[in-house]
Amino acid sequence: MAQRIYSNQKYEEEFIHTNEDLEKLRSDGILMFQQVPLMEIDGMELVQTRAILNYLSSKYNLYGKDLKERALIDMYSEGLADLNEIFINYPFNPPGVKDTNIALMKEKAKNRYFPAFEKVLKSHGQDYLVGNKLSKADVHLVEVIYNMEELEPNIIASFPLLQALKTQINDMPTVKKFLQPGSQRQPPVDEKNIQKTRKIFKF
Amino acid sequence: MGFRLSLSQMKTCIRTENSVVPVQGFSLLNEQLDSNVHMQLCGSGQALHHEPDEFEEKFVETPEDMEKLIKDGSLMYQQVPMVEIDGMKLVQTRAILNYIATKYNLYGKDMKERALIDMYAEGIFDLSEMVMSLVLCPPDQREANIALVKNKIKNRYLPAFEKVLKSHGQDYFVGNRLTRVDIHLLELLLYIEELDASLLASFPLLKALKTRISNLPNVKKFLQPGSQRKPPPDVEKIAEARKLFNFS
Repeated sequence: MAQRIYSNQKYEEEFIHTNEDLEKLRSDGILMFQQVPLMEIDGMELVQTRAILNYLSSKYNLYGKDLKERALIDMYSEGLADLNEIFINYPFNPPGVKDTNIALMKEKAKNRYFPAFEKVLKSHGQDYLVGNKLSKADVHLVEVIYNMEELEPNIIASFPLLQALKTQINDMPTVKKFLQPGSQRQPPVDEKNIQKTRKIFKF
Repeated sequence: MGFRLSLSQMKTCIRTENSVVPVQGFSLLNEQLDSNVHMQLCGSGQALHHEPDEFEEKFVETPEDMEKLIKDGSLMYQQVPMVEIDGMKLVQTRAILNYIATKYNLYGKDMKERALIDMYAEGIFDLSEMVMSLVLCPPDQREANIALVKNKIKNRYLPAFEKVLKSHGQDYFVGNRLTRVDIHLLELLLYIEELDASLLASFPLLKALKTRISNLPNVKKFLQPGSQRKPPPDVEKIAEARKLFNFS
């Protein structure tokens, strides 16, 4: 929901707490591939994370001004999604795999992804990654930074421009509010969530 | 339209005067066989709008080829595929596909059509990845995985797509004209047919779409021998490539 935060849009969330919740959605016929997330918006029942994110980004002007800016935004977002995918899954990894993946994420963040984005910011000296204006790429990057900081608090210590971007985003009024207790922000996954999730999705 | 990786040769591309130059190869980070998806759209996008032989491919054949690309600074994340197009060095399969689809008017007429296209395409990619990964499966798990994938094909994905076609009764998947979804879907249906042709039996509208798209002149040409289409992946060649590029 980061997109909606950045554009100050209100949104309502409904959570799946049991396998029955999921099965009901499935039998209602609104999940095209029997999967969540689902977003009901503008008369559509949209599934597939990227379809949802791309629509929101276009609607709220976070997707660049033209085709070429969109290409850059996609290139940046997709790279971040690769790293983030490991992060999303690692709580569910078996113990040995989990440790390997934690090390892998830290290594890739510090040696591949953060240097690449520091380089982009350095190349144009602007405050945002693309087109001198906030886009979904900045949102994704800052989200990934928060996620990596959970693994290693000082992980962007040697990336001054990333630090500056993070500060800038944090200072946006809607973001500031979102980062405070009582907002719609979700806490990090814990053991209880993991078991609950396994039960709901039967894995 | 089944672009496949020729796994004994992985290729990179360079730009020539007027052509798009798709790059093929493994994504070394996560081994996704998504290059073939990108390739097919590149090929079909180009094929539909230019002369079919107007894109040039170069292949990564050795680790040294790969190192050179990395050293040149051409690969933002040190990964292929990479396409040089319109002054950009684009990496990330979806970035490449999205750009080409938009440029050649295969991405719908507005935001809402694009949302539908994305929803359908992402479902297709999910399933394509499952099908393509079967060839990488260790022999003792293969049968179970094949059964799982066939089940999803028959009971989840193909019914969903058939339902869309039935709902509007049109010749194309979105917006009553050709878009990238028709092309991605054709590719998927060809893969499914290779896996088990009987899976398509109870989906008449999908079968009709497959025939229709296959008969578009440039697509037809591409599906014939001698085109830039790649053969299906081969377990031995995958093993060779893995050894050569030193990933497990």
